[in-house]
Amino acid sequence: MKLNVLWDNFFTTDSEQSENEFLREIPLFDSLKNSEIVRLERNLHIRKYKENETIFAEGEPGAALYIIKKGFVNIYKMNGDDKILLVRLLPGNFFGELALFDESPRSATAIATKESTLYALSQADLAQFSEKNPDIGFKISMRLGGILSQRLRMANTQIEAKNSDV
Amino acid sequence: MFKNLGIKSFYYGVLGLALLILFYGIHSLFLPLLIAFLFANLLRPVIHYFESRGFSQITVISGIYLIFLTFAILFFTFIMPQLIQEGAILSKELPHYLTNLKAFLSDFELTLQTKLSFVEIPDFTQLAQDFVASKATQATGYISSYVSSVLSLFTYALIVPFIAFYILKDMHLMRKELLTMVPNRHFEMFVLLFYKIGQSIQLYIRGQLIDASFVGIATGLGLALIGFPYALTIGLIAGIGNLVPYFGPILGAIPAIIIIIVSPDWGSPESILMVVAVFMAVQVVETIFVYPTAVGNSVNLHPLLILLSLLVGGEFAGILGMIIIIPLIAILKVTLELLHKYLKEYRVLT
Repeated sequence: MKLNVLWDNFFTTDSEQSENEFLREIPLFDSLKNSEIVRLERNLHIRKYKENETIFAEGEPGAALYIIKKGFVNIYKMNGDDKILLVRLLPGNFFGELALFDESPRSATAIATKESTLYALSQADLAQFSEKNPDIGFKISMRLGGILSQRLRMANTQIEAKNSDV
Repeated sequence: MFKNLGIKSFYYGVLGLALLILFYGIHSLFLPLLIAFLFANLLRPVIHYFESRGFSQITVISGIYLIFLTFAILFFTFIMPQLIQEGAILSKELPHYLTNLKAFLSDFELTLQTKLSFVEIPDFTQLAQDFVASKATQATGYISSYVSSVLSLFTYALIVPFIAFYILKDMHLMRKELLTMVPNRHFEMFVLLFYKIGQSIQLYIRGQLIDASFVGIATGLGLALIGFPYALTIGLIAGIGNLVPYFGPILGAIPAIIIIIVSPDWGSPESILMVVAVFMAVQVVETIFVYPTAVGNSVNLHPLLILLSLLVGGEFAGILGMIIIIPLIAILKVTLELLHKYLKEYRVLT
C-alpha cells in the first residue's frame, strides 16, 4: 500500500492518464503539453450535480468556467418566469468562460439535465496558476481569445442573417 | 431573510461551532498559528514570483528559509551585540541618569514650591524613589517572566516557520479540499470569498510591515546621523511600535524622550529639537508618502473601532496584544464585508 503511494508520486496512473487525455481534447487546452495539463488539472475542481440542479443562475456574479466531463447541461435565458432554452451542452463542451475575465453577472442560467460531473476552473485559480506558470496561462488566454472571437463572429453572422430576413 | 440555507448549513454551523470550541481548547496554539498564517501570506508573492521563473515550490521555500536563517545569524552576530552593548551602556548609565532625574525632580519641586506656594506640592523625589524601589522588588518577577518569554520566543521561532512551511506548501490543497465540502449552490460564492479575503489580507499585512520597516530604519538612521545614543534600539522600538495605530509613534518616542531628559549630554534645547525633528520628519514622510502607497485604503478601520480593539488587545496580552489585534480585526472586517457583499449578490441574503 505504502509502496503504491510512493510509486504514484513518480508515475501517473491509468485513470489520471485518461483524465489528462480527456482534458487535452477540450479546445481550450489543446495547445498544452501533457506535463502542462497535469499541472493545470491540479487547479480544477470536480463538482457533481444531480438532475435538474442549478450550476449557476442568471444575474449572479460569475466566478468559474465549467467543462462537462459526464452528463448534459442546458443553458437557459430567463424571461420572467419562463425559461428559454439557448443551448444543450454535451460532455467535452465548456461554458461560463466569461467569468474568467470578470465578476460581471451571469448572462444565462446553467442547469444539469442529468446527473453530471463537471470540472470547474475559477477565475481565482486561473489567475494564481498563470502567475506561477505564465507560459501556460498565456497559451490558455490566447486559445480562449480565439474561441471567443470565433463565437462573436458567429453571433454577428446570425444577427446579420436575422436582419436581412426582416 | 435566509433562503437556500437548509439542513446542510445547519451542519456547517455545528461544524464551525465545534471548531471554535476545539480552537478555544487549544488557544495556546492560536498565536503561533496566526503568526505563521501572516508570515506565509507575506511570503506567498515572493514564492509565486520565483515559481513563474521555473523554480519548484519546495526549492523556493527552502531558499527563502535559508536566507532567513542567514539573516538571523547575521542579526545575532552583528546587530544583537550592538543592542546588548547599548543595553549595557544604558544600565551602566542608569544610576547616573537616576541621579540626574532626582536632581531634575527636586529642582522642579523647588520651582513649584516657590512659584505656587499656596498649593501643597507632593514630594516628587520621594515618589520617584518609592517607584524605583517598588520596581526593584518586582525585578525578580520580571526576570523569571523574561526567561519564560525568551523560552516561548524560542518555541515560536521553531513552530512558526514549521507551520508556515506547510501553509505555503499545502494551502492550495487545503482550500481545494475545503471547497469540496461546500454545497454546489454556494461553490462560486466561496471561490470568490476565499480569493478576495486572501488577497486583501495579503495586501494589508505586506503594507503594514513595509510601513513599520520604513519607520524603524528611518528613525534609527536619523538618530544615528545626529549622533544620538541607542539609535538602533530606539529605531527598533519605533518600528515595532508603529504597528500599534495612534499610540505607535508615541510608544516609539517615549524611550528617546526619557533619555533626553535624564542624559546630561542631551538635555540642551537644541538637541531636544534635533531628536524631535527626526521623529517628526519620519512621521511626516510616513504619513504622506509611505502609508498611502504601502497600506492605502485596503482596510479602512474606524478610529473608534481601532481604539476599542487596542483596549481589548492590551487587556489580554499587553503591547503584543495591541500589535496583533489590529491585523486580526482587519481580517475579520474584510471577511465580514466580503461575506455580506457576496451573500447579497448570490441572493442568499435578500
